[in-house]
This record gives sequence, structure tokens and C-alpha cells, in this order.
Amino acid sequence: MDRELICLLVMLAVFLLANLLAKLPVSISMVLGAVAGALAGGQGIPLRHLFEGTFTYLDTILIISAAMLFMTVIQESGALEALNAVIVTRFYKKPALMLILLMFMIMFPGMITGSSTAAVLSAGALVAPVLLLIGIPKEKTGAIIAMGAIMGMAAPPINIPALLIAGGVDMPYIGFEGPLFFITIPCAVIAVLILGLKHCKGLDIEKLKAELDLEIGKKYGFRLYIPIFVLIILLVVSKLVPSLPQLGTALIFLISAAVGCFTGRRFNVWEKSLSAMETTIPVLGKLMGVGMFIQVLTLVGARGWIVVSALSLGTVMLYIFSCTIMPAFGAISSYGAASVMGVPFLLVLLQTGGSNDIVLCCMLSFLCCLGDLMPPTALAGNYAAQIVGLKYSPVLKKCVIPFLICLAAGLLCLIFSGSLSFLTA
Amino acid sequence: MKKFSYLWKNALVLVLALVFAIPAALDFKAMQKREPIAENEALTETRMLSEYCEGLKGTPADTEIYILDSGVPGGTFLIFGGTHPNETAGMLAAVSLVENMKPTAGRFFIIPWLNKSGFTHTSPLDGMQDFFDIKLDDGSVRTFRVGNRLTNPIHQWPDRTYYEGTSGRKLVGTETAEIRNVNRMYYGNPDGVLTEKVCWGIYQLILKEGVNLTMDMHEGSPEFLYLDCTMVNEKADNPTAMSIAQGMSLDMEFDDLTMRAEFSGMKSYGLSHRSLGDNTPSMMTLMETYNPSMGPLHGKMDDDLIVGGNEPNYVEAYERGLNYFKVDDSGYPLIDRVARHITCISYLAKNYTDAHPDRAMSFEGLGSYADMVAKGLGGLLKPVGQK
Repeated sequence: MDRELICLLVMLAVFLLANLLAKLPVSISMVLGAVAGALAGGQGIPLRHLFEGTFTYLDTILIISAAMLFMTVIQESGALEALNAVIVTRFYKKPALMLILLMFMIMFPGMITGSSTAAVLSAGALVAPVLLLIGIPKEKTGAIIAMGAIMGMAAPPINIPALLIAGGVDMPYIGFEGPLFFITIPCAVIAVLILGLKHCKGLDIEKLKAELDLEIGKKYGFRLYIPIFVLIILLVVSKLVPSLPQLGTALIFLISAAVGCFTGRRFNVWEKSLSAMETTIPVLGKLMGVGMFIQVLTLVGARGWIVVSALSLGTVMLYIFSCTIMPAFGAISSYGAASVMGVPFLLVLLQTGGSNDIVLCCMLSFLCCLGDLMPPTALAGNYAAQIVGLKYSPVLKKCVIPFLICLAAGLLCLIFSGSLSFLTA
Repeated sequence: MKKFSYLWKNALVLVLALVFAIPAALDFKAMQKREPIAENEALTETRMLSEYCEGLKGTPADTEIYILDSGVPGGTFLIFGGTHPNETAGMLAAVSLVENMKPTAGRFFIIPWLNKSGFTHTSPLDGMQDFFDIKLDDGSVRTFRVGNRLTNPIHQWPDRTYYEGTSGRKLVGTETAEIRNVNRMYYGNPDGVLTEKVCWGIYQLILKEGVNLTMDMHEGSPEFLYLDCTMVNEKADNPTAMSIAQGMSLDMEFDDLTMRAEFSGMKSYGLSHRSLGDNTPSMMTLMETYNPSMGPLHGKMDDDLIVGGNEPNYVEAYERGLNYFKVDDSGYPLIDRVARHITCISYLAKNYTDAHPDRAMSFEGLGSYADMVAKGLGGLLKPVGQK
């Protein structure tokens, strides 16, 4: 057996044992897996590498922390309750349209930041109470948020796995919008309708009104929504006019949060911020653990081994692996799946005649994004479950059918990438 | 009591974190110390790049320029390695030149660690080594840093989400981190970010010293198209540039070494061969060799991979038709790549002199490609008192 394979198996075994048997947090289990891999690879305990991997996702960690603070402010100021009331009272007569619009709302922060976690934490948390109010069960609400966040993560303009794969083969990130919209929008619409539509028939608006807080909106009026508009305007302007001085996504969230402290109900900012950070620390820990895990995977040569093994698979097996192993790797990291598997898979698939490189890259990145639903990490599923107050397994169960539909759609587009070349024009 | 145990728990976590963080910090800190360089009687002078860009003074990016003047009037050749610190052969070729060169005509300006800040860190998730060792013939060991292709974010942060350098290259989207890449920011800006100041220093050096020929030494992973290749910028005031480069290529061919010459990409804005070529009178060249430790397919990261240069994963990938560059079982050891860089420089100087006898530049002291490979790095590098 190859030494690299042994290292990989040791890392996975220690990670799973620590997480599933010893019930240690995912982040700590990843640290243990990484340390075990380094020992098995003859690298001792490479502190420098463990730290370096840990800090890989520092920027993402800053964005998630800032987004979480923003969400807390929006909740505490009353903007969330007011928004719920507006959406339900305006759109209750057209439930399908209402659901689709809500789905696009969930997707939006993911499209801008490229992070499903940011989408769940921001728009997901805004939309969840609305979905619950109109009668969608908790587990399905969580599933809608998780699926929407993943579709947002995969949708343009920012799809980080696509950026990673394209960067790995020296392909400029140009012309990706068409194929990414082509796969994400229909999948998002199908997912939300499958999960939510049957619960939205014959809504009793009077009953809903009784449960909604209509007073807070009347008391503070439009100013309640100012932080949300500040956020959207700053995010959109920074993308549309990049030559303007750039604030960065984390600072934009913080500025919007600061504005929100003065536009609605008063609350103790310090206490609420502390509690928001306590909630988010497990996800930040996971990101740090993922960085450490992949760093050691590369150090001991297991990443190279995975790549070379993939090269010897043949096209059919590669298609199968693309829609099984690649999303499954999301249990460790969907970004990791893109950089470890996406690049070599693309190189091999490009050898098959009649394929389109941009469409292939987009579909591989889409399949990587689906990995954010994979337990035990299941970044999107985990947070969505937390928002609706459930453990993540019932939420993930409800994701199975839309997930399989997405998988099939991604695979079909991968196989027939050549026929979709028109999307890249 | 509860508060007391809470405090103890936090204190314990903090102590544990420090127990791991302090040795790691010392490990990272060790990369900030530059390698010693052996003495060479032919070395005329050592300057700092800040002499050509005031803003670099006292910064971690200021770097040494070794000047070897033959005393015989002729041309001026600027040679630099370490533009991308993970492309090890360029840095070692420059060090070897500084330690061994005996110039016989013209002047040579040599910079081994061009992006000095980049030598102080490694690339996250790539599992790169920070140091590697070379055992010398006298039994002593010299240790060199590997580094990262970009400036250390501790020295230049954050990366702006949009930036337009003096070349007109717009850094946006995936390219934003390239604001820390010396080879994207030419011809630099004295008031710009730290990396641009390094570029400005080189630009000013070329102008002030009247540099006639410049070589920027690089390496790439086997997925890269331009390996064993020298890029050359031909322009109106130097129409012989490509013929000089082709002369070098032919000379190397006679030594059984492949080194094709290619024109600079028309849109390679911000790269040395394009931007410095377009904006200075110097003939600009950039050379690439294959480095197996740089690609995504590399196996276990160790001295064997960095110095031995043998990566079976790339052999397999080549056999499956996935690499443009031919990789075989014999590998591509570091000494071969260093010798190839030096040989290319030597033939460029020869062909330049043939084309411009009034600007002659030549040197001795390193021997032929075969001589260098026979000596090995242990014989090429000089002892510096390291054990």
C-alpha cells in the first residue's frame, strides 16, 4: 500500500473516531486527524504547518464573524420582525412567487461573498421566521435555507470553488456567469418549490397577521431597514465600481451593523455581540481545522496521491467520482474538494473530445459546493439547523431529494458540457 | 466557585495556546534571517536596493545588490533571482554567481533575494518547506529558505480588491493577491505599496546604471507552458534582442540543452520582461525552468523533492498526456536547473557581446553546464562557516 494512502487513511480514521466515537467537536477532530497524518507521514508534529493551515481562511473567518454581528443587530433592532410582516402581507396570495423571491433573498449574500455560511447567517436568518410563519415545518425551513445558501455560494459573480479550479489550470475567471446561472437558478427554484409549496396553499392572512409584530414597523418606519440598504448598497457598489476605495466585505458588515444600532429598538450591544460570537465560534473552529487538515494532507503527499489516482480512473469513473467523492469531500471542505480534486478532474475531462472548459469548471465547482451539505461538518446544513432550532440531521434528511436533483443536473451538464458552450459566449 | 473554575479553564486554554504558539512563532521568525553569502575576491561592492528607491529603506523588502565590476569597460548586466522565492533555482543560481564569478568584461549587478519579504513566509495549504539543506564538499551544510511567491502579508496587507499598477494591469477578482507579486507590478511606483517600491528600485537601477541586459530567473510547475524557455522583449530601439536570444538558444542546443526563445506576451502587463522592456533601454529577458515541488501533483514535501527534483507523480501525469512539459524518471535536480540558468546567462552575455562589441560583458569562474553538474551544488556553493 502506498505510504501516502496510509497517511490519508490514518487522517480520516482519526478524524472520524474522534468525531463520531469520542464525540469531540469537528474542529478538534480535524486537528487530531492532521497531527496523526503528520506523524504517519514522518513529519513529527509540524507546528509551523499546523499554524499555517489554521490561518488560511482568516479572511473568511473575519467575514463570517462580521456577518454574524450584523445579523444580531438586525434581529435585536426589530428590522427582522418588520421585514417578515411586509413580505407575508404583500405576497401571501402568490405563494410560489413568494417562495422563489424568498429563495433569491437567501442566495444573494452567497452570490456576493461566495460563502454559504454567510448566506445562512445573514439572509437565511432573515427569511427563516417568515417561512416558519407561513407554516413550513422547521426541518423543511432549515432545508430551504441550506439549499438556498448553497445555490447562492455556487451562483455568480463569486464562486470560490470555480475560482480555485480555474486558478489551478491558469484559466481566467471570465465567462462563468452563464453556466453558473444556468445550473443554480433552476435548481434553486425546484428545491424551494419541492420543499415549501405544499405548505403555502390557502394561507390565512388574518391568522398570520395576529402572529406577526406589525407595530414595530409602524413605530420606526423605513429607518429600520437602513442597515440592510447600507449593506446591499455597499456590497453592490464595491462589486460594480471596483475602482472606488474598497472597504472589504467584513468592514461592510460591521459598518451596516453599526448603523443598525441606531435605527430601531435599543439593546445591549456588548452582551448581544458576545453571545453572537459564542454561537459562531464552532464554525470558525471548523474552518481552522479544515485548513490544518489540508495543509498536512499536502505536506505528506496525500493530496498528490489523490490527484494522481484520479488521473488513472478513466472518464466514466471520473464522472461517477465527480458526483460522489467530490461532494463527499465537502465533509472536510468544499474549497478543499475544489483545490484537491477539481483541478485534476478538469484536466482529465478536458481530454475528452467535445467538452467545454468553462462549463466543465462551472459544473465541477457546483458539485463541490454541494459538499457544504455533507456531514459531519455540513457547514450550510449545520447553521441552517441552528437557525431553526434543530439538530442538523432532520434538516439534512429533507435536503436529500433536492440534493439528488442538483447532483443529477450537475452531472448531466458535466457530461454534455460541449452542448452548453453557447452559455459562455 | 463557578467563576473561579471558569477563570482557571480559560487560563489553561491560554497557557496551552502559548505552549504551541511560541515555538511556532519562533519557527516563522527564523525565516526572517537572510542566508549568509560566501566571500568572493571579485566582488566590488554591495549596495542596497533602497539606494534606488528611498521608500525601501528600513523595510523588510530592502535587499542586497552585489556588484562585480571587471574594470574592463563594457556593458552592464543585471541578474536577479528570488522574484518568486519558491522558485528556488533562480535564487541559488544568483548566489552561485555572486560567490564564483570572475568578471572579465563589463559590470554585473546580481540580486539573489529580489522579493526579500517573500522569503519570510510560505504558502498556506501548499505544505511547503521553509528551509532546505545543501551539504558541501567540505562536509559543512548550508541552509536556504524556500519562501512564497508573494510578499508577506505581514509586511503588506490587506490586498486591495481593485488596483491598477503603473503598467495598466488591473488587479481585480482572482488577481487581487497579485498586488504582492513583484512580477506583476513593474515598473513600480515610489509611493505605491511595498511590492511596487521593489519594482521601482529595479526600474531606477536600470535607468541610473545604464543596464544593457537584464535577466529575471524563474521556475514553474509542469502544467506551465513556458518551461526551459526564455522570454525576450524586442522593441524598436533594440531590434537585435530576439536574434541575441536565439543565439543563446542555439549555443545551449550545442550543449544538448533545450532553451527556446519566445517573445514577451503583448498583454503581459506588469511583468518584468514586458514592462521594464517597454519602459527602459535594457534588453529584458526572463527564464523559466521546471520545479516539481511547485505543482498541485507534488508528493511528500522534503529535501529530496526540493533538491533531488524527482516527482514520480509528474512522470505518471506526463505519461497520461496531462503535462505539456516532458518529465521522466531521471527527474530534474536543483543543480541541473541552477546550472541551466547560469549557462543561459553566460550565453546571453556572449551573444550580446557579439551583437554589441562596445558593450562587452563576460565572466569566468563557474565552468560549463557539464562542469557545474559534475561539481554538484556541494562543489558550486562555497563554505560560509555553517555546520
